[in-house]
Amino acid sequence: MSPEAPSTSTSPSFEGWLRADGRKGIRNVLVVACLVECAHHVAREIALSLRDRGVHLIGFGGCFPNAYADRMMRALCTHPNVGGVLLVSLGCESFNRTGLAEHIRAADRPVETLVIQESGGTRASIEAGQRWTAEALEQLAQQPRVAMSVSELVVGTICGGSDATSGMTANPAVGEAFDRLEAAGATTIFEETGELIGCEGFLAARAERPELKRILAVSIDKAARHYAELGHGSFAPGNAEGGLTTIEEKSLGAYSKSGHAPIQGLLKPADLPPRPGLYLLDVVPDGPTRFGFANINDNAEIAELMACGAHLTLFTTGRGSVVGSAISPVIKICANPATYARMADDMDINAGRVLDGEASLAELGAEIYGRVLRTAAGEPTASERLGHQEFVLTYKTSAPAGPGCLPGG
Amino acid sequence: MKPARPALHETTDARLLRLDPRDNVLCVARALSAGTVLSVEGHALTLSRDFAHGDKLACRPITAGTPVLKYGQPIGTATQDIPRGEWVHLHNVKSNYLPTYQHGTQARFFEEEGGWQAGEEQP
Repeated sequence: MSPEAPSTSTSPSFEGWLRADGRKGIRNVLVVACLVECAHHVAREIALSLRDRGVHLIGFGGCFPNAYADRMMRALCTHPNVGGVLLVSLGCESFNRTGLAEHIRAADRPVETLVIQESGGTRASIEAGQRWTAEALEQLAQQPRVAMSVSELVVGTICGGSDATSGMTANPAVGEAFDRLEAAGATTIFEETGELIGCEGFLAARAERPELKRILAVSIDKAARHYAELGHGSFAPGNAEGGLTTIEEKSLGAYSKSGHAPIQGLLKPADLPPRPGLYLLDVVPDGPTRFGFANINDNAEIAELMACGAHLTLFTTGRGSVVGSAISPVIKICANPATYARMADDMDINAGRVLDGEASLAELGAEIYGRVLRTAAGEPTASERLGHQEFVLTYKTSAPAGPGCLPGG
Repeated sequence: MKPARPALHETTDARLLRLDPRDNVLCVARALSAGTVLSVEGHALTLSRDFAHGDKLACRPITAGTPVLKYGQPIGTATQDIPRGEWVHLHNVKSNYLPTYQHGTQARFFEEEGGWQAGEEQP
């Protein structure tokens, strides 16, 4: 079934917050960002005391410098869903707090830097941080909203806690929703090249231009080497017992989230898509594996999608992931009807209905699309309602996207 | 409530899931016992074995050496003739993917647009 214009019963326009760079946000979060683990407690005490007022805690725990972490924090602190930032520094960590604050200021957001070693320690810093944050929230509440359309949305997708049902229900349903979003002019991003081993040819066939074909195939190759180096097999006996026959079939189950649109380009973390359409995000580090796994958990992947501008994430799960995310809401799509029966309160979409013959994949795709619009219009997702605001940022070596990766580049 | 489907699929049992119109296999949505009679694209079939959730069965006859299609893409090549209704898995399918960094094979399948050449040599 080819994607068609969204039904008029779900309005494709809503209101968002206009930011200095022209992008619009669907949330107006105040971020408290700790710049080293030593500043975590102070940052957390500030954020938790105002948790019901849209204050989210993020941060980077490492003391050593890392260009990737620097780039990620700049992108995340100026994300379109972010209205203001409190930076919490211990004082002696190597994170470039001045550069980050300038970057946020240039993006026209209220920003304050709290340096614990200069502010009189824990108690005084918490009090100063709470005072500033409460005032900043007043400012954020005054920020006007403007008309925003679905074509201005950036939507990411990941799968986590997958089981045999994920590739049969939730993932293909997300593919249907991705096709609808792309037809409506939105930007969509999928990732996890390590889960696409065996799909090189399929990806190449969807490349929007010839020079991208090889780039996509090489990115999968890089992932295969990376996981092999870390001792991760790609196809296990458990997969065959679950009904999967080949590595291509397993990867296609994950790959089906991307739908059928042509692939416009390959992004690296913190790259902003230059024009609408579907993109593949390359999460695998470049060069020799220095810092371990590409992404240590699902939230590390979500952080990279957000750094590329994702307003929200479509998260498919078979076994029952419960995470949400700071900054960008997570829409949780449950693939397995048994899991949904046990954990319905944590789920936004029951994709397992396909297995019971109660819905088609196309109908689920339409339901997911509708949920995206309602989330963009302000309706909290299950994980938002439950207070999930996970955030993970680790060390990585990530080189810029080379020539040919992005349209016009 | 019966979900809407294109005409081709109106006569396939709802316990079998089709992921793409081009597929020649269907996914078993719920466990089915040997002897169960099902409609598959208008053909009445009696299952010759138990099927578990997640298993695949052929919804069309698949000739040896031709692609097994799921999600509209080749997930492998049939190593023997597979009649309609037969279980499709490791015993009658081989992977087309060569993990030793030779990823041209699948790209050729699509770039040539002629589909898979039966008996084609792997590089």
